[in-house]
Amino acid sequence: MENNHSPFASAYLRFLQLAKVVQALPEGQSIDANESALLQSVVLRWYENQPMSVREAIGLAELGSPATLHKRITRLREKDLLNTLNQEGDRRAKFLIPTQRTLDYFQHLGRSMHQAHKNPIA
Amino acid sequence: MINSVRHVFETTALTMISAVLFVGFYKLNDLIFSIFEYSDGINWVFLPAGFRIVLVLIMGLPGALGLMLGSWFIDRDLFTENAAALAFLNGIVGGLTPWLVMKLLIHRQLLDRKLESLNALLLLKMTLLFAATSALMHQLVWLVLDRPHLNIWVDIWPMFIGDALGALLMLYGFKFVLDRVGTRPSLRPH
Repeated sequence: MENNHSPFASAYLRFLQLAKVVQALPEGQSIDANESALLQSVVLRWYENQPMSVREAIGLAELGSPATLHKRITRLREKDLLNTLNQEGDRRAKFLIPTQRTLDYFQHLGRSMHQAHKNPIA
Repeated sequence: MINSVRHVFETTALTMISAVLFVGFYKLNDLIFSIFEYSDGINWVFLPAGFRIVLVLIMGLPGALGLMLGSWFIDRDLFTENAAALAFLNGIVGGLTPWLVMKLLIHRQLLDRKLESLNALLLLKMTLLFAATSALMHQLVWLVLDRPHLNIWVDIWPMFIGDALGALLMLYGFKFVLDRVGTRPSLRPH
């Protein structure tokens, strides 16, 4: 069915379509599935009020070897997704905590899930 | 009757908006990237090239006509300096080339009028295609009109790179703004 929109309406609808595509443009700082899995584990522990230490994170054998996980933590820190926090009284123990950027990202995921639940057909 | 008047009014308004945006960003480009000027009319970074893509995709023919008017406005001095043909064809090429490329893509069913089939990869490919055709057509016009000091095989590259870089900067600038004003954060998993 062909809709005869006015020039303004057509332009606006195409603008919305283009905006969607522009937002999907690839960017250098996307995260892969492995980084995402590690980030989720760290954030879950933080959410449970038991922040994960770096030592614990590199010991998550199901996600990779300690050397691989160490590099992955470094990448997540470089992407401003994880911060480290030193425990008071013990500067050797470093804990991993999410940054505001990570919290925004999870908030977006939650909102999308809610929206998908509300409009299952869309 | 009322509908057709409204149609003409809206088409004219879109054409004028397109012209103003193109001229505005041409001036801004002059202000920011003048140090990257390769030669008269060619810049290593040409932001308005991004508007060529965006305006033609969004507005269609009125967008292209606006680009043409904008180009004529920028080259207005040439009309009085015995270079009217150059200024006239610059406008035609600058405005209509992206529109013709879009028409060709629609004709070959690689794109549709409502942009429903447009995706990020196709947009990036189109950016390069628009930059290449625009650079080629401008150089051909200048060759035909015997523009002084022209070396098409050398000059076409800065023009192509400038258009492609400018368009990418514009698109990613647009993305930066959308990511911050919209609901979607910039971080996306693969």
